Amino acid sequence: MIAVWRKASYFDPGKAGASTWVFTIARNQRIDRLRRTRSRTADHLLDPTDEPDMPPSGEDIAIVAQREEGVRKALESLPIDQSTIVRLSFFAEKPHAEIARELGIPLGTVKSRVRLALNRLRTLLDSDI
Amino acid sequence: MTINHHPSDETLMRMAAGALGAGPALVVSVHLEGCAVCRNRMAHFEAIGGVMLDEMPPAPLAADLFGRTMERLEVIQQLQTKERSMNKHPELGIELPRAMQDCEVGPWKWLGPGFKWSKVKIPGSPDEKVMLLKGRAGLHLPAHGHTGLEFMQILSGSLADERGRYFPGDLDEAGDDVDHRPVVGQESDCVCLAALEGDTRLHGLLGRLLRPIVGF
Ligand SMILES: [Zn+2]
Repeated sequence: MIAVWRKASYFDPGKAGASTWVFTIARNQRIDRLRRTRSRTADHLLDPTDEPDMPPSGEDIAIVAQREEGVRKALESLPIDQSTIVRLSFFAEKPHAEIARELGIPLGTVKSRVRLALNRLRTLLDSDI
Repeated sequence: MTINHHPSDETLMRMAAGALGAGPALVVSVHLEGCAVCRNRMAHFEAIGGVMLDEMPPAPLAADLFGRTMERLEVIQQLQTKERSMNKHPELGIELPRAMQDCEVGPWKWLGPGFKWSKVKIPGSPDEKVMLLKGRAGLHLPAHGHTGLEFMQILSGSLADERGRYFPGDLDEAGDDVDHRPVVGQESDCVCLAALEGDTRLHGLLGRLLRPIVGF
């Protein structure tokens, strides 16, 4: 929350949509907490707010909107068991073994669902680049 | 420069989710610095995080959140004016990537004939297994395997193993299924940034050589 306020003036709609931007800040905060001191290595290239200020062009904004729309559609098209696993890997920070235990499925199944989901996302997303 | 070897999708997803350790994340950051293809993939994974965040049910906020936020903002601004880093890089004879600018990098140390290493410390993550390696032209590295993931980004020169040839900008991700015997290209010395994930250890001769000297 606080980081979002602090960085609000850097928000660049030509780099990321608002929710993606909030997500990357929240993630970087979590990394900083984990590493106790502030480590710019984590922040540096990942943080879309770190670049010198240049007004985004209409084209940039359109690309971002297109990317997020593509991602939304790609996620929707994943079978539910695959999207569940992507969600858990993203937000629960759980290793595969733990996800397997929680869902009561073998570790191999978790791994293959992650692989299937990523392959499918790659096919869907690479085609709109 | 054409880049032929990239981090896996799973690695980029973990990086985007903030779930990759500081060492591997540093190596991937160096790769992203030079690879537009992966920066684009990374943007997609971050957008996936944003979309999923959007779909989460909103959490209620505390009534005094606004006031507390403003208070902390002031403190942070005061702290930030003090922060400044100094040069922590000895004469290594190479230009370090931007992503490494806050790391503490040790001097080259002898590891074997024609083979040197330098310890890389990431601020806040002292236990990460990260180092620079330098091999002279034509050097044959001892065969080795890994118990987990090894990430290696080529900074200069080239390296080849049974699976392919790696040039500056390439990132090689080798898992426990890979046993390899890298050879430095004949054209020049090779410098690369390497990280082992978590409790990954090297086995084979290279592991026995590194462990007493490097400590992992
Ligand atoms: Zn790449």
